[in-house]
Amino acid sequence: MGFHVPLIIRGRIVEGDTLRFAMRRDGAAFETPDVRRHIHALPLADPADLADIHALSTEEIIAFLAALGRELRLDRNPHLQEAYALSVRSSGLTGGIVRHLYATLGDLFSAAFIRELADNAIGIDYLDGWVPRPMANGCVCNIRAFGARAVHVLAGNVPMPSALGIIRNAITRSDAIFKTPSNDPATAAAIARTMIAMDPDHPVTRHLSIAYWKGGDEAVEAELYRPDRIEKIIAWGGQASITHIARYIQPGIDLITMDPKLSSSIVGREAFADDRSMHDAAVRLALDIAYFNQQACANSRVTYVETGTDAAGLAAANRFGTLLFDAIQALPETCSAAAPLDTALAEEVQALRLASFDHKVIGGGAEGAVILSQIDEPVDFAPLLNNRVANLVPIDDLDIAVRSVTSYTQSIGIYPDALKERLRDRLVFNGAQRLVSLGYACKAAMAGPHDGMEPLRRMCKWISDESNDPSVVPLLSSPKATTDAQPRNEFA
Amino acid sequence: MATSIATPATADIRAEDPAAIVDLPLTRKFSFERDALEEIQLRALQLRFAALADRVPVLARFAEEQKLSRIERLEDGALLLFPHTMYKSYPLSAMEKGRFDQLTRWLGTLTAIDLGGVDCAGLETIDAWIDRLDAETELRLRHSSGTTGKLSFVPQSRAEAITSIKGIKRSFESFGDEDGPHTHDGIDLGELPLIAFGYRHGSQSFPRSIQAIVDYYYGGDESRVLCLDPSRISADMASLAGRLEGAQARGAVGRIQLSPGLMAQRERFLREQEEAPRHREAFFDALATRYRGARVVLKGVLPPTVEAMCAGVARGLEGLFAPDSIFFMAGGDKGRALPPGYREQVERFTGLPFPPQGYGMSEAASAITRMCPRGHYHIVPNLIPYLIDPDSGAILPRLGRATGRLGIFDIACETRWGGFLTGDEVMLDFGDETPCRCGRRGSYIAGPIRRYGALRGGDDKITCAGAPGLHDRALAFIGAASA
Repeated sequence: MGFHVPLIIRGRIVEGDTLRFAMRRDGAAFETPDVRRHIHALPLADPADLADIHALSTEEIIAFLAALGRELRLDRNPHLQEAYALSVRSSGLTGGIVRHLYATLGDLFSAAFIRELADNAIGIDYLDGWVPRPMANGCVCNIRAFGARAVHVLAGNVPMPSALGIIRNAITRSDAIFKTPSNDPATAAAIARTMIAMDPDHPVTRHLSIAYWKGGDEAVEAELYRPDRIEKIIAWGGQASITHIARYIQPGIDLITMDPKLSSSIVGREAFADDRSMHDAAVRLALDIAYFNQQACANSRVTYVETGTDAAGLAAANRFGTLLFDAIQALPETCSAAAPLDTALAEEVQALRLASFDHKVIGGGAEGAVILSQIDEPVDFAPLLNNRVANLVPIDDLDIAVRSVTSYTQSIGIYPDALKERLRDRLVFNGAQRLVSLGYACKAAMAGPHDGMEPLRRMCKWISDESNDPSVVPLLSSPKATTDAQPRNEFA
Repeated sequence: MATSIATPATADIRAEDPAAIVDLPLTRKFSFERDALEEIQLRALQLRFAALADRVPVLARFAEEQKLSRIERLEDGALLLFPHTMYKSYPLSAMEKGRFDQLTRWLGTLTAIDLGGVDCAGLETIDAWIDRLDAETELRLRHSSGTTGKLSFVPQSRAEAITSIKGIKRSFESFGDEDGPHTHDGIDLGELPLIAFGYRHGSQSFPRSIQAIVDYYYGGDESRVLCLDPSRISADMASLAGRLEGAQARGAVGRIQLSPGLMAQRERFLREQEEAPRHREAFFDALATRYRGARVVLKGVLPPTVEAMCAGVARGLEGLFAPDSIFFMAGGDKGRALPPGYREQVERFTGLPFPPQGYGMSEAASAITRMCPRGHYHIVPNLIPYLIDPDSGAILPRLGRATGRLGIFDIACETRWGGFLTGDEVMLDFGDETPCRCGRRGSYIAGPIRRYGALRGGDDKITCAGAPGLHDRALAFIGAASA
């Protein structure tokens, strides 16, 4: 079965000269115009062409995006329906979840959220104009966040990066070329086509291009990744995508990476004080583990439980494991559903079930599994955990959980909140990037930082316009300048 | 052309000793009628199950899970194929913390050999643990190269190690009156000197086989065997290399803890590393003098053998051996890039035609088989091949030709369960409708072999090859660690 995906260059749909590409999962293929034939039209040739989008106010941009969100309805948007049909086949998620993700995609474009994002992440004043900042030495430094010419190398496990990328690009008033992933070449294109249907000449539409080429294709990338054509590369997907990009990184190109990460949880002793707390923690943990079928970076894989490792402690941890398994099974199918395990993971679980003295396993088939470590260590294959396979690790000392954190850790869900406050600084020193109340790992505060940084600020060019009055700020040649109490601002 | 041969009587294989089939002459091995062979195989499968179900705890649990209390059909064996993960289902920390009692207990669930009496006191390294098992039991543990972070341990017995080399010896033989590189006059291991392109000592498959060959075929006479490296490939180094790989993937290299036992061995490892170039010099000197023009048996695994032979050509060593020498090369490229024109280099170095490649797997007691003149790997008769759907795990019909994941039951395994799943995707022809035109009977692999692990981006096949790159990295790490 073949799908067709158009090439979109700044509000124009390009057809013809198609190439065929295999999708990642089931051998299905899609065809799309050969980007190499349009490579010279892809970058924004004249950077001054960014003026049009800078002439818009943030509120005007929000209004356009909100209107776009209202058009992204799965029941009536044929482009989105097509992207959904393709994603159902190519994504590792079950049908109910994919449907839910596409059915709610438009909600991401709500005016209130985008306004909050723009204001929290950057500051609307800085986006809409020059903000005067008086310096102590009398200089007035006017600061404004400008857009840049960027390439976004998208990840395709869920449709949100495409939508979020479009929002971020519009807010920062940048010009983006989206390089779509082979397992979701259609979602970004569907949103762009909806924008074209709304207004092909709107500056937000005109500063978005959507293309698929095979990552590493030199004929495309050597032409594109040059400092005179783009200034920023925003890359999802870690090593695989970075390997191709790294060779083009040079002064003048800023690389922003959204690395693949793994997340975990810590359940403090308070959860085991009584049945109600235990149940509450299990239900919350079930969501952190199983939402999106554990395919997202925020999903918990290993949970440290502060039950202790003596017989009573193991019994409590094992009982908690049963509650957790049941809570995962009880999740609605829009959140999570049974799906076959990858062979590699299934064999690891099977081997533990049959041959390990140090682990107990609940489940193990398509329903997922809870692996109960009977020692204070996670399973050796913890990075493979997905499709609702969790590992509970009983510990005597929270220090074990703290030391398990590495630079590959993203979110840590913690119960109760008081424990989160107690541990948070130490978790961060070890590498954690986001701490969250247990149960909310997949409900991220998206207007906050991302992976330990503020990507929206980095997507902007931060420009200063400094006004100095010699009667206030002496010239550097003035005798007064050298006796100035302020640090000298000279560049040799 | 097809070779006509008399069908051997199944009575050759006594019911109580199925492993004897490994030592049948090669022509006989590939001449069984399907029904006769399956009768032997089913009888052997039943025998092994009856003997091991009570003595190998993991098998007992597996059979219970599969609701199998006895074997009735050959297909029942396909329900009891161990995934490779079974042989590495111990916690890695047990190794890091030197908990060899815990590891021994774990290992005991996978073998019928009683490990209850093994005293693990005072053990600080994996090498020492393996030595202790060697000294106190019939176990001759084999471990993997650790390329993805964790060693696998296959609990092979001393008897199975002998079975294994009998299989290797038989694989040198010609089938019927076939000529070409298969021809030879029956003189081989034990009579000709053996040149081995690998480590002499250690517990990976290659040095384990060399040890068994020296003991069994050369009566312990070391002087008849020359190895590329006379030292030991250390399990501790392989394990450390694996942990470094894993830690690198997790961003935690700085947190690797070296056990005191390993640190105590540090000087020895580093000294051996320093000596490696001298060993290599000595190896090439011996080839250039003592063995030049001699009739020898050459044994190696593709990548390290090719590498050494190319290095030999670079030193000007060419046409070294007598033309009737026997040349055995196992394995694929193991994911390593081979130099362009390597076949010609190998032929220049040896003066022999590039040999037909072998295919095997270390989980079996004896699986080695050499490519037939039609380009196929024939499954030796001690192996019951199964094809498994890689996604659903369903067992495919044992008929005609189909592609799937290869599962094996080796009737020659006596002390551990002989059933395992390989990581290989193969097109298997059961030989019933379209027998191979080389004249061999039975199942054969009819197309290229692909590794599922490689398709998934990782691979830790229990190979007989060392992984020198990894080994070097582990040595560099231990060298940099402060004593």
